[in-house]
Amino acid sequence: MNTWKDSFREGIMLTLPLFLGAVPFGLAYGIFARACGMSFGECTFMSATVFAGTAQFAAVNMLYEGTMPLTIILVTLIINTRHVPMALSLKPYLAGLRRPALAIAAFGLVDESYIVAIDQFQRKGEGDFPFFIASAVTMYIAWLGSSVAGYLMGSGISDPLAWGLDFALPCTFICILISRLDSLRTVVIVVISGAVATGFALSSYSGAGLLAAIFSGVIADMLLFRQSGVEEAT
Amino acid sequence: MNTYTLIISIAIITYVLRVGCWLGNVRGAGWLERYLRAVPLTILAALIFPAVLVRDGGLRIDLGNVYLLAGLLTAFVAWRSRNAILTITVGMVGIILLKLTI
Repeated sequence: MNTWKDSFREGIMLTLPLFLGAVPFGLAYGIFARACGMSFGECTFMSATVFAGTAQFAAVNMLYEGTMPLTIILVTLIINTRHVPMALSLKPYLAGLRRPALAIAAFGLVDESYIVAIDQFQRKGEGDFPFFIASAVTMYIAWLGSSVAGYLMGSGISDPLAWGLDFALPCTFICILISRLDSLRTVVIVVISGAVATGFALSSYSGAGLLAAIFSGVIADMLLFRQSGVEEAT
Repeated sequence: MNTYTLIISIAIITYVLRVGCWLGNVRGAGWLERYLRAVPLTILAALIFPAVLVRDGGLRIDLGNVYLLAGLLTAFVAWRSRNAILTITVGMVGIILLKLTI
């Protein structure tokens, strides 16, 4: 059994590459929000309370274009609905936790902390609450800190997405993905979800890409691999 | 609508989507869990493919796309070495060198 401190440290260590990878996106968000005429308070308040990069970029862009508030809310709702299947798949590993603990942890459920945590939990076969909290806090610091820095520096820094540091996110995800490809089933799911997400990224509905990829991958799994055993490693 | 009111609305909706099924009485029915096991794979695919294949809004499957080259290099090292630290280091050094040369 790991102690609380060991779990927390491990959560930070495994999230560090994603911390670095998120920084250029946070900087880009701060720069973008400032260019779109948001105040420093609005930009920072949004990162602190929403904590969801894609939705924030979309919302700032729509605010700038004068989109109706109800439309902005609906679009962010669609972008963030992906958190529902993410939360559902993590739920079995957090059973037994008390509601206040779950209520706090849920705020830190982002793509990066989800992937790091579910990968760890599925490999170990059990949940680890401090590990998840450590991953979430690490990502929160990365996102809030870099969005503040991006706003303050504004266009004084050249496009942070062009440095190559933005590759730290896909690089880490590729590393995790390769370790999980162990059957025809896993490869088929990845190819289908990846193709759907790429198609959405090329369209004007890129925000819905993740949600569409989850649905298409899970439905493909249901239709093509219905009979494969539940015990098979994912 | 005031900008702060809008931000708070978005924040509440996002939080409810995150917390809903944890606090709600959604039982992890067997069949549901069975199908949710694909979720991590689908999210990994959705985060990787567009990030390496789409540049500036266009599909770039060619040798001039440094993100695609670095992605393939990373995948190869991950597959052969099964070592996360080595893989991420090679991937990041790779993208920086590729950016400098191409």
